[in-house]
Amino acid sequence: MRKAMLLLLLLPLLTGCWDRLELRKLNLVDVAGFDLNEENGEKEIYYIVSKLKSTGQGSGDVISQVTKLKGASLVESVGQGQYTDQAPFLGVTTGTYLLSESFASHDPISALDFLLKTPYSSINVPVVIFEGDMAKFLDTVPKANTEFTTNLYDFNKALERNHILSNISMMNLILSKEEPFTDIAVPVMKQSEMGVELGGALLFRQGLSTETKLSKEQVQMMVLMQGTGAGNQRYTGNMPEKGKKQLTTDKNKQNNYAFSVKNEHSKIKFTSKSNKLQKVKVNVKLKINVFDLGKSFHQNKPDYINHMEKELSNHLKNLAVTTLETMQKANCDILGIGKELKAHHPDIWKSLDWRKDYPRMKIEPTFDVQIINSDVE
Amino acid sequence: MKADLLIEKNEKSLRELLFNSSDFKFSDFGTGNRSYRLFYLETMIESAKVQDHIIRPLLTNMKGSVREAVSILDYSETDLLLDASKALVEGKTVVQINGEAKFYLLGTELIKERSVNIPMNERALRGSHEALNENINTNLNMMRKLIETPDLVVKFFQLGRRSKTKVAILYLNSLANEVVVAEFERRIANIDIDYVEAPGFIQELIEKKKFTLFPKALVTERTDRINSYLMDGKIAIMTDGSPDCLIVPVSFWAFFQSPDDYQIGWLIGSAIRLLRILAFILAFSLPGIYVALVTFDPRIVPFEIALTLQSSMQFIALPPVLEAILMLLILEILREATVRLPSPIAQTIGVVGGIVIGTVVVQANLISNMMVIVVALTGIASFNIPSYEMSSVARLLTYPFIVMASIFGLIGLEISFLLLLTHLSRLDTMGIPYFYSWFTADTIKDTLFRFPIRSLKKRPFESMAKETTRLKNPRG
Amino acid sequence: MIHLKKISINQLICLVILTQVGVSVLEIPYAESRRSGYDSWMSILVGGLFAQIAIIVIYQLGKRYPEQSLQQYIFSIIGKPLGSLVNLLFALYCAQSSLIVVISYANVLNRWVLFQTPFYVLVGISVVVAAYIASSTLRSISTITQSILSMFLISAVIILISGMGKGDWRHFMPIGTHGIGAIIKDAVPAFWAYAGYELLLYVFPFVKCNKKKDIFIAMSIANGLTTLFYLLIAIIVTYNFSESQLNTITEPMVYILRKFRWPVVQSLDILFMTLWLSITTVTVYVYLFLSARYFAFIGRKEIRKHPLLVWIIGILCFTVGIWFSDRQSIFKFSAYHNKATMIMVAIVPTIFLLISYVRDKVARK
Repeated sequence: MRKAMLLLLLLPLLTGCWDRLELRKLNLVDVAGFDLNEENGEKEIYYIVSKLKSTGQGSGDVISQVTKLKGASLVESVGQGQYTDQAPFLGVTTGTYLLSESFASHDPISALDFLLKTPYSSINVPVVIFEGDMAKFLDTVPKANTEFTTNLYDFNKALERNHILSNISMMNLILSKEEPFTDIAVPVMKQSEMGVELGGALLFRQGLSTETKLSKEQVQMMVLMQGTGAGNQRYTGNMPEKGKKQLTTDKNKQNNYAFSVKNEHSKIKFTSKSNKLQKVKVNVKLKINVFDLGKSFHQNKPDYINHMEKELSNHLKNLAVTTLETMQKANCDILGIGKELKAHHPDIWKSLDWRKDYPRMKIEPTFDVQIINSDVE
Repeated sequence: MKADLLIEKNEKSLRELLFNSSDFKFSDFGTGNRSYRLFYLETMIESAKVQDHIIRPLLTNMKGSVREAVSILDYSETDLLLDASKALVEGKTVVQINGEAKFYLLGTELIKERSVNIPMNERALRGSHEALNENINTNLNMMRKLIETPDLVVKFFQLGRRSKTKVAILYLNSLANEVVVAEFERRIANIDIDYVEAPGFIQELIEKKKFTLFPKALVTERTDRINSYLMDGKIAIMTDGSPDCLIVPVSFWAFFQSPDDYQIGWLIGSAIRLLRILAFILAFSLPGIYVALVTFDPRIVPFEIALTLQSSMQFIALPPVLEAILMLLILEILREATVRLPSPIAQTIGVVGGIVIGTVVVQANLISNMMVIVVALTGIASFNIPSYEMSSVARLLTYPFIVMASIFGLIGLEISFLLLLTHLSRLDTMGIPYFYSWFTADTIKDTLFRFPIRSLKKRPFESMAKETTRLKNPRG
Repeated sequence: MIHLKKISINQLICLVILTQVGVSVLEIPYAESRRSGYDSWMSILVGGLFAQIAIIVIYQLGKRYPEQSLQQYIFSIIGKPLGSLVNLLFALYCAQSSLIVVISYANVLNRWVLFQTPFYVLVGISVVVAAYIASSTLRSISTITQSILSMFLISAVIILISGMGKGDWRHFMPIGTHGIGAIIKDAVPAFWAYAGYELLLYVFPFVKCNKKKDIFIAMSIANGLTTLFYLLIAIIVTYNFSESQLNTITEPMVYILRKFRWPVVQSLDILFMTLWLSITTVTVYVYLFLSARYFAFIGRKEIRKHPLLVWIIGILCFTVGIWFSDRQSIFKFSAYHNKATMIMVAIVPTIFLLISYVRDKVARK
């Protein structure tokens, strides 16, 4: 016992204590924003550092400070952070990564993949694309709205929890480049007064941006087709009149609907002939709780529910078709059809060249809606 | 030296042997041809006994021998002056018939002792409230009353060249391991020391020389605990003049057991037992964990908590390590002070120490809020342990853990744990292991948890008892 | 004085499990998926099977000399001089095993947890702690190992919790397309990951049991649990990462552990690596202990000063270990050690068993 203690005590006394990271001297980075300056090709990093001031008795104000760092590549910009008077920045507490659109469209992953191997980096937090002028936004909003960073973080968590759109973590983003058949949809935020709101999703194909964005309705459809739509989220919208394709602009004749999905099941089926793929079917079965369905919903007519179920299924299917068209044009396989094919039907898989064949494939969605909270029999 | 025929000469010799102590008295009585002289120390004898059982029968019975006349239980004869002086100091009355060179030593000791009281330092909610007191005979009486079987063996030893302290060993003959008993008896008999102040002396002298913080004998003053340990096959060592009793051989887990665990039902008893062990671990590692997290690995702390910690430490001048050690020292100073306080002042100093120091030191920006919380929790957790010796060990262990944590962070804590575990595993009492793992089916029943009585079938491992089953068919 | 010499079956199981599980938990199944891709879990199973066969061989060898350990009965198999040589080889092999675990884990710590601490300090601490523990008796070592088992369980729980979550079962399919040959070839690097059962060669006479068969069952249970554990890790990793992603990540467990975020603690990988230090230390000190015991029997008489031997071997390991701060040299050393393991743990006991059989037959004639 004595020998061991002596030897152990000798070791550190010879030199000093290394690896110290004193918490009170660190600057905790709350949100990190990456931007690309189109004119000179420089990468810019915005660190939003948060501190708590005037704490005591269970209260405290959050104060955020924005620091801007520039460099020829991201790694260099991070290196520049050592020379500012606010160093050291601790990146491991970052809550969200904000990428600007220009940054995202120029091969972001090869600039970002140093994050995987760096110590003190946070790689499991959501990545969000910002639509608009990020520099101006970050100059004004965090100063004016001290709750901005917390709101952004909570908002991202809520997106995931309410199954509106699943989060893409930085690790997923970087690793999606390696896997040839992983395509992801990154949430897009745009400015709304003193905060942000969801503007849709940006499609990425194998780590490169496809420049195609899905609108909010299309995002809803994508989530429903992926099979993860069950939850608190309200799906609302406007149905066209019976027999018509276009939505009427007459407010009195609009068929509004609002429902939330209790249970859903989505399956991808393949029909093939002699080992060649003919058609892909996406079958979605929904069990929904309906709050509002058309003008006469509250009149509780007997056959109304069945009739409206069919109307709704039709309407959802049309929406899904347009969504799939957008996805196919961007050559982005979010639903994972390729993976499903590879896993279950390896022979058919071998006969296809997925990236070429995907845009031309026939994909048919079908919706089967069942309303389970109707008042009428 | 032999006694003399003449009373006066004996009186002078005895007075010299007692170095002219002022309480050495003698009294003469007698009729006609026989005169008796009684020598005694007036502070040691019970005068009623002497008057009723010695003087009166001797006065009425002039013809017979002293033995036939006197009605005293403790009777012996001697003709050596040294024996007589020893007997005087013990409180016996020495009788001499003038003309005979013989002393009669009659037992008339006066016993003054504190009455049997509730245990001062080992309170339990449920269980008997009887504690040992300073007189060894009263203590043995209480123990024999609890275990009324001839199996209970009591062996006396006299230790100390000058103090002649009486030490008693108790064990159950059919349960205690003979090798262990023989070894302890041998060690006690070999103690050669001037005087024994406390059983702690005996504890240190019978252990081997290995350096360790951990106590290897359990100290208790409750009779029900001694009873249960004797029934386990352990050995109890009692000393005259001290209400503390040593229990050997004991394992690490025995320090976490308390009598009310067994009285309350087994579910709650298990939960509380687990809580105690958790408190022990917290007591020595919590400041170390805090220092490691704040100085070395803030990456583990989530963002919101990191912000809070940072803001509480912002204006503090001292680094967290020094803060921790300083606050722990202040806690120790407070604790030592409260033990020695006279009762009228205790409350006030409690307020001054606890509240004022705690609050004002934070407001003066010397120590952060979190540190005060951590240190207070550590202190209170360490007092959760039923044994005072073990909680002192826990508090002392905190310091090396903090030092290791401040040098290597969480890895340092890990290494300290490993070293502590190793040190515990290497300790043994005469070959009986001090620490054994709780993972085996037998040992987990009474260490981390307290299983129902019907499943506590075997005696604990460390007593090496001759018979290990204690339950056959508890429910009939 | 009471002398307790034997360890119980429970302690034997704990010892074997914790010696087998070592540094490789962070790298599984990278090395096993080079050729078998997402079927690496099958390679792990096959590796466990190989280990089980080796256990059968060692058990049979031990059963023929139930009261002595290898160092003592080797003399009656192949004679004095060769026996001393074999003891020396085993001692060197065990010292080499503990050395490689020390430097592999010190390297892992240097890259993920303690970045600026000099390499020799990390190696020094590991060696000092392990030497202190290894210089105790076998009984103390088994008590310590039993207590460390609880840390192992906590680590396993951490792995389970962070592994579940977003992943894809389709990474496993289609099952088995890589072919049996590739699967078996990839089981070979796993051999070192399973090594640890050779302590039975020494410990056999010290186990307290009713029948000798209990020892065999205990060893099989221990091996089975280790296989299960590695299998779990392989499944979790394949669930989370697809095959091509796995090609770029050499330590997949670290990224998986980082995924989990609690309100109270995040970045579980640092916590896990700190806890795992104790488990690798078990491997180090068991091998150090075995090495010293083999050394003690080289000469004519048994050398009784066990702690002295342990500290000497420890200091030797330290002086060799500080030259290995470069990760490339560690790779080369591991590859060499894997081959050495196969020889010493599988082939050598088989040879002894055969020689022992042959000798018996000759003697009976």
